Amino acid sequence: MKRTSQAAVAVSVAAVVALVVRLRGRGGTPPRDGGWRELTEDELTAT
Amino acid sequence: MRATRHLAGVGSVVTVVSRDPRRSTMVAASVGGSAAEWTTPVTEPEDLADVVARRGGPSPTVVIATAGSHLSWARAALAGGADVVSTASDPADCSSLTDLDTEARSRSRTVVVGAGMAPGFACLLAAWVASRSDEVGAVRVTTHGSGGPACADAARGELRGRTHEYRHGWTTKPAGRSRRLVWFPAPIGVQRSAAAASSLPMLLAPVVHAGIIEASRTVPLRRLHRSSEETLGGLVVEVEGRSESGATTTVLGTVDRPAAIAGAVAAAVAWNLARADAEGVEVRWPLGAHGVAAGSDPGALLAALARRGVRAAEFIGA
Repeated sequence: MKRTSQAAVAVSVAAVVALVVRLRGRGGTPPRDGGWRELTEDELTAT
Repeated sequence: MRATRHLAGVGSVVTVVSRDPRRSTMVAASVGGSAAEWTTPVTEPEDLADVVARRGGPSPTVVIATAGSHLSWARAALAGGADVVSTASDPADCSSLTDLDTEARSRSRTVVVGAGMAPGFACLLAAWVASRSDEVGAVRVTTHGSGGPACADAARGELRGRTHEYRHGWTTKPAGRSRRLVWFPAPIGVQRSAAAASSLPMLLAPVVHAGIIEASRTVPLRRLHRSSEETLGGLVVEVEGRSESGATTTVLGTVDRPAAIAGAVAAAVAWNLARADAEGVEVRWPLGAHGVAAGSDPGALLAALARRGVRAAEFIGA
C-alpha cells in the first residue's frame, strides 16, 4: 500500500513538472551578456 | 494604407482601390500628394484588371493587401499586364501564388509573394546573413505580435494545423508545439514561442539553401485579441552558418509595429518593381513568382528600408 502511494506521488510530481515545462517552454539559452546593436546602412550594403 | 503612404511619399503615382469606395477615398485623402482614389467599387478580380488597363501606366505594379486569398486578384493583375506584390502570409495562399510562376514568366511579369513582416522582412534578414556565409546550417525565425485584428486571426491560425518546414527535406508536425524561449530586443524581451504553420520556410528555401528552416510564433496569444495596428511586434532571426572564421551564429532582431514593417516592405518592393528599367533601382527580381528574398540584393533593400525607418539590430554578446 505504501509503495503504491509513493508511486502515485512520484507520477503526480512528474506530471506537474511535465506540465510546467510544456507551458513555460524550454530551450533558448539566455544571453549572459551583451546587447542589441543597430545595423548600419554601410554594413547592409557592404560586399 | 501604410504602403500607400510610403509610395506616395516617394512620388509614385498611386491609385487606391477597394471593395468599398469609401475606404479608398479615406485612404487617398489621408495620404494626399499623388495618391488618387478609384471611386468605383472593385469587388471582383475582373474589376481590378480593368483598373490596371485604364490607370496602369507603362509599368504598372499592383500591391494586394486585402484580407482573404490573394490568388484571384493576382491572376487578374497579371492578366491586366501588371507586376504583383502580395502581402499574403497564409501558407496555402502563398503556395498558390508561387504556382503562378509559369504564367508570370509567360507574360514577362514578376509576382513577389509574402511582402510583409514574416514572411517578408524576416526573409530579407535571413538572406542577407546567408549571403555573407559560406554555408548555412539552420535558419530559425520567431515572430511576435500582429498588424491588426485580421492579422491577429491569421496569427492564431498559425498555431493550429500543421507546420510546413524544412529539415533536410520537407517535413511537417503539429503547430503550437515545440515550445522554447526566445529573447527579443527591448521592450519585448523574453517570450515563449511555439512551432508555427508559416509560409516562411516555403518562400525562403529556394533562396537560402539551409539544412533547417523553421518558423515559430510567440505564445500565448491573449494580447492578439487586443491587437491594433499600433501594437508593437517583433522578429528574431537566428542563422547558424559557417564562414572563414569557423562556425557562426548570427542573431538579428527588430521591434516595431508589424503593420508599419509590412507596409514599408510592400512599398519598397513595389517601388523597385515599378522602376525595374530605371537608373537607381535598388533591387531587381527575376521574372516569375518568388518570395521577397529572391531579389538581387537583400542588403540593398534592407538599407532602403532602414532609410524609411524600418531598422534591424544584431545581438552582440554571449
